[in-house]
Amino acid sequence: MTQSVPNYASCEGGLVLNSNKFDLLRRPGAALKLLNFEVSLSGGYRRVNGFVKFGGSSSTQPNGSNPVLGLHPYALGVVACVGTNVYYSEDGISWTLVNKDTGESGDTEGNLSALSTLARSNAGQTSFVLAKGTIDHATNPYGVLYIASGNDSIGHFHIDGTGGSRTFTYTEISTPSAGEILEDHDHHLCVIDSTNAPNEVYYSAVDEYDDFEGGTSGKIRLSDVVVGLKSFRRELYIFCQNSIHKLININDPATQQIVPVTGNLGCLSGKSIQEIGGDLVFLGPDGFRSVAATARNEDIERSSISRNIQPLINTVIANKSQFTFSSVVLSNKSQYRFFYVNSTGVSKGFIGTLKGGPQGGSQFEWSTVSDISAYSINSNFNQDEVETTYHGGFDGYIYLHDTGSSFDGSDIIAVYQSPDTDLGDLGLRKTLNYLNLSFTPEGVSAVTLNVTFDFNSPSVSQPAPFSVTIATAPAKYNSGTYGNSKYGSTADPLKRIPLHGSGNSIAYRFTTTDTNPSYTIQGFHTEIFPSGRK
Amino acid sequence: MASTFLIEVNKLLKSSNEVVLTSAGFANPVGIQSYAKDVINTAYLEVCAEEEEWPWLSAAASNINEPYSGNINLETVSGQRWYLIKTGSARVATDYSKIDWDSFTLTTEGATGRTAPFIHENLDYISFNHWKDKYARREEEDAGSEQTYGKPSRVVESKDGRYFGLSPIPDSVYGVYFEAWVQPTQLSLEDDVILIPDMYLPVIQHRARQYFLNFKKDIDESGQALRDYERGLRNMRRNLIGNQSDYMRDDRYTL
Repeated sequence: MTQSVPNYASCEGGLVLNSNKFDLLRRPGAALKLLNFEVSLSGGYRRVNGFVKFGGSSSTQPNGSNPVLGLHPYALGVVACVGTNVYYSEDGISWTLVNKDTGESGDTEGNLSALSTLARSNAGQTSFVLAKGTIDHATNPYGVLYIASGNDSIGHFHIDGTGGSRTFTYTEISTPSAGEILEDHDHHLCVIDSTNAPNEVYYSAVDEYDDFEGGTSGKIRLSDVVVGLKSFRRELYIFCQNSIHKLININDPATQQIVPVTGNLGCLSGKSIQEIGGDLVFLGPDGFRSVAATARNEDIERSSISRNIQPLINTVIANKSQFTFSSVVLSNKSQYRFFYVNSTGVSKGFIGTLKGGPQGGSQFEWSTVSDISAYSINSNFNQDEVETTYHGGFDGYIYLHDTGSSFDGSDIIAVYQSPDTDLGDLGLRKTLNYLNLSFTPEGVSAVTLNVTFDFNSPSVSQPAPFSVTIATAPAKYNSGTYGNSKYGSTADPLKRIPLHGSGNSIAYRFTTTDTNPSYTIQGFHTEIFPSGRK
Repeated sequence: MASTFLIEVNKLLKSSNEVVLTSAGFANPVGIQSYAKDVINTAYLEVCAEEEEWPWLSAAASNINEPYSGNINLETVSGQRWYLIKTGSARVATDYSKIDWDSFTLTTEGATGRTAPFIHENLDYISFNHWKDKYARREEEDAGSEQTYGKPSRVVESKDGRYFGLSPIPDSVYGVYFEAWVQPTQLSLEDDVILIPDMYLPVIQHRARQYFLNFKKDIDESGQALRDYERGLRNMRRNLIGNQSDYMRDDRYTL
């Protein structure tokens, strides 16, 4: 055969679904499908971690199969709102019902069961604020957890002390009479009572989060329905259905004011609002947006940070009434994760990784996830200052998010599909020789590679899948174990895969369906034989 | 084990790093796989066309147990001169591709109604023009006026090549034996057997690769494939075609 010609592609850019196929011919490292992968900060596409039940094989559901409406890491464990109750557990096996009428003095854990329950009869998706250092609880290392879940009183929960004598305290705030959205802002607890006063933002007295009637408390009224709050720097951003505002100078009545950010678009779900990369991200009517860009450009499409996945976003937005939304930021991965679960528990989501762009600055690169049933999700730093993320399942279990290599024992179906690439000349037929796959293994994995030609044209014979075994992760000093680690291997090896078939454009699809350790596809080098123009 | 159409097509595709065909997809391939089927067929037919007397094209096994030769036989009819060489054939495209006119023999052994003692005689080939000039008129007169026939001693090829004639016109039932070769059939089905001996199958591949690589504009390799084909064909001719004649016929004149 004639001399083969090399071509290289580095996996970067994430999902790109808003470009036409000709634009993508020259971006072989982008993805048309990136399911259960995440864009790695260190380059390439990494298969996502799995999740495991909190409590392992002995874990229990706090309240049967009712979906977990909300959860928050607290003290030495997790607080979960399920059904009409609030539960606390440190092991995921034994759950203590804590929405008991303990009075302000609280009671020991052993006595809680005898107390009457303060049921949260109208509970929906839950909002939390963990407040530390407030006047009445300045010495409590765990702080106080405020709980709002719809047309029920705001819950106030804290644990004091240690060991068997520690006390659990659960009380309800009488004013405002209900709360659905909570936010901690500049020494105030801010509340939206979506049922009774959806246009108003209540804020507590300074450092007295239970007091909404004291001198430094107050409320403000807007002309739009509030769907979310977020404290950002020294301003409280108020996300409404059709507008966004910010409350400035909350502690100075003389200069306090509501400043409009945009009056042309709003936020679809308060559960989408997260702070990442020095900005606020939220789901707007046309996709994910950042507040900063929206403030600069108002409602123009250029402000969207999810243009690359716009077709998928459009589907979610068009059917938003069918979904329950949740989101979280994984700081160590610079990721914004957004999940949507339908009424039968089918769950999908997006992962946006904020990466440095080639021109400087930062931009989101997107992938999708499926089968992570995160009906609710929350993240916090534990006592060891390690970020720990939990998600509450549609099935009523609490899960350790982003942990392990399976979806609670089930296979992770991961798919990365590149766009068709013409290697510089669409008119030239290319006969494949081989592909060098650059990857970073974290263990042994078996990848299936599908090669398709000419946009998967039925007029071209497409090769059968190629099986690729990804080698064991290399042994590292002081961590490798005999029989499990591979001596003398590199961290990012190249796997040569003989290929066959020919066409004018070529696309690759990598698939794994297993519970093997994760791996990262960094890129690939393809050798082809130029094969004429017929 | 004889090779099949599918096997040869897939050999070609594999050698070119192309996707092979499956049994299920063989009938309706697309793209370059369809072209691969075409060039294997072309190469096969071209190899067959290079020599008409390839052994695998023999119309039937030679009759080696009898003194008369020939793998085809038919019976004459008293008073009938011309006989269709391939019984039942309606057109040239389905006729035998080659007849060995030197192989015609006449016998009464096995002929309907004939009893011993039997005769076994060669039928000498004469050209149509020779027969026309020397024998035709007299034999027609004999047949027309006096119904006088005789024991054939000559065989004549009709102008269109589809009939043989006997001279004189047979006066009885005789058995006529001769050697014939069939035309190759285009390969069609996946399990169509390629009759060429296995050791010469690469010759087909060389020819097919020449076309295939030319299609892919790999001119150097295509040229090499052509040279391989030509060398293979020479070997086939040398090994398979028996050209060791013990004498040569000079038919420029008849004594």
